[in-house]
Amino acid sequence: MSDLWKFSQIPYIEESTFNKVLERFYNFGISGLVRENVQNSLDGKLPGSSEPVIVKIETGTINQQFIPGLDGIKDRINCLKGRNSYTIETIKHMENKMCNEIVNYISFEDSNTKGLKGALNGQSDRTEDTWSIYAYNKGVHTVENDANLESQRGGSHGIGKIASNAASDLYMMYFANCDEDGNQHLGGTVQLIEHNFEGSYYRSTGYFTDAKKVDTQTSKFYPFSNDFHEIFRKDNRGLKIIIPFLREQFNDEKEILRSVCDSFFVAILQKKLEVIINGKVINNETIIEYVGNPEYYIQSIPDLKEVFTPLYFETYMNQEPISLEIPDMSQRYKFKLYFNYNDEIAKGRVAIIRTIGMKIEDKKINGNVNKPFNAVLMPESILEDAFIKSLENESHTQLSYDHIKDQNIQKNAKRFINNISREISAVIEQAIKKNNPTDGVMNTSDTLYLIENQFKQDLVHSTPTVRINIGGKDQTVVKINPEARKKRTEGSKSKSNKQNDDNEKQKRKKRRNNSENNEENLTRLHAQPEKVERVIISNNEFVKFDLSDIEELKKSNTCNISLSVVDGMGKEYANEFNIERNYEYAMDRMTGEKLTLEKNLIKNLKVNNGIVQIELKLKEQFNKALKFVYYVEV
Amino acid sequence: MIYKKDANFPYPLLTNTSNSYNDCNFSLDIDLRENSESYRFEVSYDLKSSFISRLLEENQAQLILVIQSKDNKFFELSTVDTFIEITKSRISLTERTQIQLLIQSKVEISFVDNNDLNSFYQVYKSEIIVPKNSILGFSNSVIFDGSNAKPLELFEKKVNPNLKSAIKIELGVETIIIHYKNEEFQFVDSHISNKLNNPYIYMGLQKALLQFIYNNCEDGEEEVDLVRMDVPSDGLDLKLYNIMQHKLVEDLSVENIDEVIYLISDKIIEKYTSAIRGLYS
Repeated sequence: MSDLWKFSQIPYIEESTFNKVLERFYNFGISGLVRENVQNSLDGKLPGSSEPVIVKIETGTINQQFIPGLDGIKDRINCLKGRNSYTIETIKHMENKMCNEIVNYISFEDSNTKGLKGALNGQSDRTEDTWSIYAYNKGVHTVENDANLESQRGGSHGIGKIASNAASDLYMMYFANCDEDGNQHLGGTVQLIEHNFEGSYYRSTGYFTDAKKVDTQTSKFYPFSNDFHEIFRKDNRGLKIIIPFLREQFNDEKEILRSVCDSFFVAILQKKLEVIINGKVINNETIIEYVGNPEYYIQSIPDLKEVFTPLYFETYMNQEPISLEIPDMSQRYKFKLYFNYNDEIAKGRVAIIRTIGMKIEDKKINGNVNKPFNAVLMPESILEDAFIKSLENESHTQLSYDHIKDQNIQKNAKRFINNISREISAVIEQAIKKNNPTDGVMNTSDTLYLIENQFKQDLVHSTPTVRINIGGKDQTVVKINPEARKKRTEGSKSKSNKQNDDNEKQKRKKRRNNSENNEENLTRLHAQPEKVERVIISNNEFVKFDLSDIEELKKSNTCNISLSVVDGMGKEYANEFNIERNYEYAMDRMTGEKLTLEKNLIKNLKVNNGIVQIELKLKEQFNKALKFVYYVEV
Repeated sequence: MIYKKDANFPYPLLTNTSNSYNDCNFSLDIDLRENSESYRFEVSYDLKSSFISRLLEENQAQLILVIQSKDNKFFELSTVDTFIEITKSRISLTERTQIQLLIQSKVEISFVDNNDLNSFYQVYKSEIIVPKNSILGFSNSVIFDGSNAKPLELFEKKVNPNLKSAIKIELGVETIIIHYKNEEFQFVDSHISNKLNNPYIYMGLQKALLQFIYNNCEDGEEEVDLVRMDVPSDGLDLKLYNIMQHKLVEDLSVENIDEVIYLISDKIIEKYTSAIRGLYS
């Protein structure tokens, strides 16, 4: 199985470093990877279909034994010889990572797309055999036969594939293809350095492919048909990219989701694209749940200073586009500008969007980077789109003229890019003037104002409760609001039983269960502090309970009492106070009899018309400053 | 700390909810005013117990205002003063800020003369002695419920090409009107034109306050006592009077006019400075 990966032989080693593009894409991080792959899927849309392209992004782990041909790659990595510290370090990192038994992966699977064509032809020179171009050439992108489609495509530099290699610790990636006729193949590439393996020299790039002898001198690549592990399978038409050994810093679901929204919100809103990330569906209806969610994006407008997606989203959704003509040296291009002026916006940016619905950059307009506006600029037609495409840099993240070699074209590009700034500046200036009328009330709201402070009475705390404990749950039976109370104390003193009924359903609160209470199947009542009178006179404590309005007590003529210490904040300490250790004795004032103090309870008190009275003799260590709440067991 | 939950103290306590006192009531209400320097909590309370009231009058007990924000702050409150002033740097108000009034004993207190107690305590009252520094009662707590800023319509602007000066500040019936000879002087093409006009706002306030002194001072004095003066009848003066009252300004004179502007406004010059800095840095 060690020959699943093919490296071409070379006469000697010329170049001992890794492909520079790997480092560039590595620096773009997960967002660069997501961008490249989703864009490729959009480019592969089935012609004539009105369905959105669906990209399923999944992350997870796989045992390394299921990664096809991994042993072959490990053998190669073990032969790599670095010539500078950077290369040595990279090889070391690969050697470290390749031993992991369980490895992370990410996959991008598209549908409603064409997939690659001509896999059965293997290595081929025919331009329509897209499999051959994708699988065996780098830096070449497939040219569409239809010129219209060609100009709308997102990719154009032909290096996007390598973004997937960059995301892997071993610089390896696989692609599973299912074509129009249901042919399923698996290919892959790995980016190493030129190396000596078993006495021969080999190129840096390896291909996961089969090969057939054409004649005695030459052989030709043909792909493996796909019967590998299910993660590597692609059963319906389209392409699936699988990247094993996903770098740890790339493995961030939130960041993947944000990258999708940042770059493709227009494509999603226009129903050209739907992305499913580990089961989370992002389409034109659900995207707002992410863009408008503080878990994913800052929502406060003045704080949006680096990522502007929530602003673009709002601008695009709520503003009517204005037509904007931007000239280069020979002609005028038509654009739609969605423009929003809002004093709260801290940084002014323009999203430049391609017709496929992908954002190229957050363009800064000269002299307006801190102006309170937000805008989305889109081409009106393919003509403008093609021109914009020609200005994109290699990684599709900026309009630039630096990459253009022809002096005249470069000059024209420079002129056009400057004109974008000029035209949009004019729109901004107009908006500012409109927002600064010369006559009328001056807006001094940031310097001259009156502050009105409001307070509310804390009603919650002034509504004490009595709780009954049945089967471990405390139930509120009395709740008095201060207004009702006021009336009662000012007027008649009759007690309202109706109020008890009204409040019976209120507030339920769990309490720790006291196991001893359940033994005898007793009901435990929290004695409302206002129903308890307590006083300490030298070494005697007198406590009186008025429990006459509690139904449960009417059936019984004795009860037990327990108590908890309460601190200044109202926090209860259930086990802090020990009755037996603090009281010499307790006496029932009704009967004059001494009471049993046992298991932290004062037992068998007489209830007389709901009234219970105790006299307690304090021991020396009793802290007279303590505050209590009482519980009554019936 | 704020007493949030009732508990049984080993002696009778005056609260809104306990029955220890007959007809007991101890309620608190707070009003808050502020200027750019400080907060003033105006405290009003209703205490229904002649025994406790007498302890306060005779200085045997003390009213303490507790303000609980991130930590607890305690302020002694005399029965005469009804407010507490705190500089803004010492306190931050949030929607969790709670305020409560406590009564604390300053000496050992005998309850023998307390005729406000209920029948249970009446029996024992001759023997009840509460030590020094004990809590005798606490009020309901009051929670800060946020604030909102109400902008003032005090200034108007106009462009008037026939002006004989570059700008002119006119004191109108209810507003201060700034006339500009040219709209450029307003910086209409700048998104921070508001802040760039702050110096004119300052000049306008100065002029209007000078007129306020002129209109409202007693003969020969160059000073107005805002606490004692009659409410002005002039529309613009009335507006200024209300702002100064609201922002706790007590007197206004030619000498303190800049300090008054600082108290009644929010960083006019600072905001201007940072706007200009933003343009060249």
